[in-house]
Amino acid sequence: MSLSKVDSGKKVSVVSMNAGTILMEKLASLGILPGAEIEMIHNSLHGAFVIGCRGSRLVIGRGVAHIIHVKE
Amino acid sequence: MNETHKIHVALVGNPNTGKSTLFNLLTGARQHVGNYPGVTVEKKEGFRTFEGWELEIVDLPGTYSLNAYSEDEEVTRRYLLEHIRESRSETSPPFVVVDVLDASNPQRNLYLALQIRELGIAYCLVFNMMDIAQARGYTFDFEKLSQRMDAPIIPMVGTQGENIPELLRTVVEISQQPRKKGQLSSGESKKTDTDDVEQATRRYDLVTEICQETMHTPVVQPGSFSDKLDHWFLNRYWGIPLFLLMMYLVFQLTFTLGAYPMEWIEAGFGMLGTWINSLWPDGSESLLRSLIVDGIIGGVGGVIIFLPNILLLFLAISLLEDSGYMARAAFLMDHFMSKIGLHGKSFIPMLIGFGCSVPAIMATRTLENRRERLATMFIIPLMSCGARLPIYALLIPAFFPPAWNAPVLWMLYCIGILLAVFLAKILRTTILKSEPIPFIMELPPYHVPTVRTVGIRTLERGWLYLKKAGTIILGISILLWGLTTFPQLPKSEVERFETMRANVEDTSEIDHLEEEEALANSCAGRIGKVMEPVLRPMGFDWKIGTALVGAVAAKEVFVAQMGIVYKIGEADEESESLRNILQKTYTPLTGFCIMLFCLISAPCMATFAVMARESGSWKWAIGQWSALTCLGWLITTIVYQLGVMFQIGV
Repeated sequence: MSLSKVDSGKKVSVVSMNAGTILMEKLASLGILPGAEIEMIHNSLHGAFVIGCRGSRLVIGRGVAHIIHVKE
Repeated sequence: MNETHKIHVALVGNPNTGKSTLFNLLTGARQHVGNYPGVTVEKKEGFRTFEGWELEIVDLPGTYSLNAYSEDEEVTRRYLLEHIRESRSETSPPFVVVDVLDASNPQRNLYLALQIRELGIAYCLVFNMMDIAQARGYTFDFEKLSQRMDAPIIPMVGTQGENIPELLRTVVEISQQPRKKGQLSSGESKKTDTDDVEQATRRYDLVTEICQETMHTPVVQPGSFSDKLDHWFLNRYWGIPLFLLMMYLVFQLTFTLGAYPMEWIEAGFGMLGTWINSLWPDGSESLLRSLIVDGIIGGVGGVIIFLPNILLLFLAISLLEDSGYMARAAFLMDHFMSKIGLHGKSFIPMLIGFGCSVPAIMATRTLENRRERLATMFIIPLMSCGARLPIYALLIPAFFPPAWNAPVLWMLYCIGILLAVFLAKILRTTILKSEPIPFIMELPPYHVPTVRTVGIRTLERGWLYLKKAGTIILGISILLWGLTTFPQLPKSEVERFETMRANVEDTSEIDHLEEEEALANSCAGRIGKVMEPVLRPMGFDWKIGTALVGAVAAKEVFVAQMGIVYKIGEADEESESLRNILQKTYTPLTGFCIMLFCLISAPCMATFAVMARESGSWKWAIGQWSALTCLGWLITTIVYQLGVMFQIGV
């Protein structure tokens, strides 16, 4: 499912990312890659999300969350 | 200096690792800060001598990876590649990279470190913020880690300096090792999309492996205190109100606290002016005295008076940045910003713009999309900057009753913001159209701001403002004084007035006439007269035009110019006499229109220069200047004409 559908407090892992080059690279350099573990800290505040990844917090927009596919 | 005793050092690292603080500790006063610093300076160079070695240190902008996504990151990348090439020649000094990591966030920070390692150059790692890491429960096997990373590691606590000698010694040591011939970075060769993700995956896999081998990661989630705070600050309902509260506090701090030092400075300049005046006998007409009192003290004084306000604003912003709150603010603002086609990150430069446009425009470097960046830079002058405050402070009390003072000021600020929003939207849907950048941002944990970091950043930005005063405004003030004084009335005219005076008891009216003629005769006066047809629709006369000519160079000069125009020495915003004269001569409507016009049009010369530099071409600076001036003329004319039509404020 898409990351945007994950509830607060849940931990998931990345399956794939469906994005253009630049976004893919940016996500990759921040560590959001297939296999990475993500924890949903705050879901959907004003259309964006706070996630925990590789030990720190990231804020991502709804559009970005939408194209990251994850599983439990 | 013996070339063989020099070492080039570059400081790199993720944002928020305390790199800049380390740089300051290393170089102390021996720094050369680039002309216009932003959040991170493009070229921040410093020096440090150590045991006979001269280290040239550069603090590069923070970056997550060497594949560049913003102009800041591009700078870092280019610099490194350039210096690596250079350092391969036997004649240039050795080049060493110091990668500063946030020890409490090792995984993400090691990613960049791996890329540095791939470059095959001499480098070492500084594990900064060890106190935070240890508080979180991290433990490190530095020996093993150093082996795996193929580089010496120096642990550090950023705000203190105990391990600095060790760092310096390490830098010197590794600089003397034979130069490796390692492969140049992957950034140099052509690659396909999937290559990068694959490489990134491989690197992160390696990072995970290394971390498992060399560190003990705490089980408790880091930053849980921060998460609790964010529960409120990023809350769907409370987030925005708390944000507005923060903004309110920022402006309160700036204006109310700043009022005290303002008074002292004002008094100081007043005394200076009086003292200088007294050096000449009463009633004498001295050009030099006029130059010093009207030109210099009037012009420059007007700028310095607002220095406390500006510094307080920058202080407040630095506090918010260092505490980590700014990242939250940018995120909250993103929702609204995206509606006009901008990024949440555009918010911070705009906030800085309320102090001074120059550091604000430079702060847009963190915006990744060039068009978004241009649009943001374009509208920054509409954030009513500190330079316009003297104008408001002069005109508002002159034309409006006390109860109206605050609302009118507030109204002006709001008009600026609304116009900025409007203009941004237009730009982003027409000539600066582009896909919005997806919002991804690292959220640093909240942390107590350190005096050192906040102090340095505040002074950096404030210094700009002061430099502007010392150079551009001083020069312009003198120039304008010249334009309004020369050419002087021809002898025949002077004699004519003398004759008129001889026959009358009260010469004040004749004096006034003579002054007016002298002004009309001067360069500035003639320019004002020529401009008059354009000024009339806005309700201005040629005298206002003369003062506006000065304001083109720097807004603050407007007040001093009005003083010169009305022949008041040392005119400043508190000048009772100048206020009275203005009140008698113009209507409140005109007063408001003057402020409106100054708000919107003709960004000052300093802004013009920085705009040209940061946008990469004169085209944009000229375009911005013209567009804002025409917009200003248009809106002021409409407001004035409507006002006259409906008999408001006349």
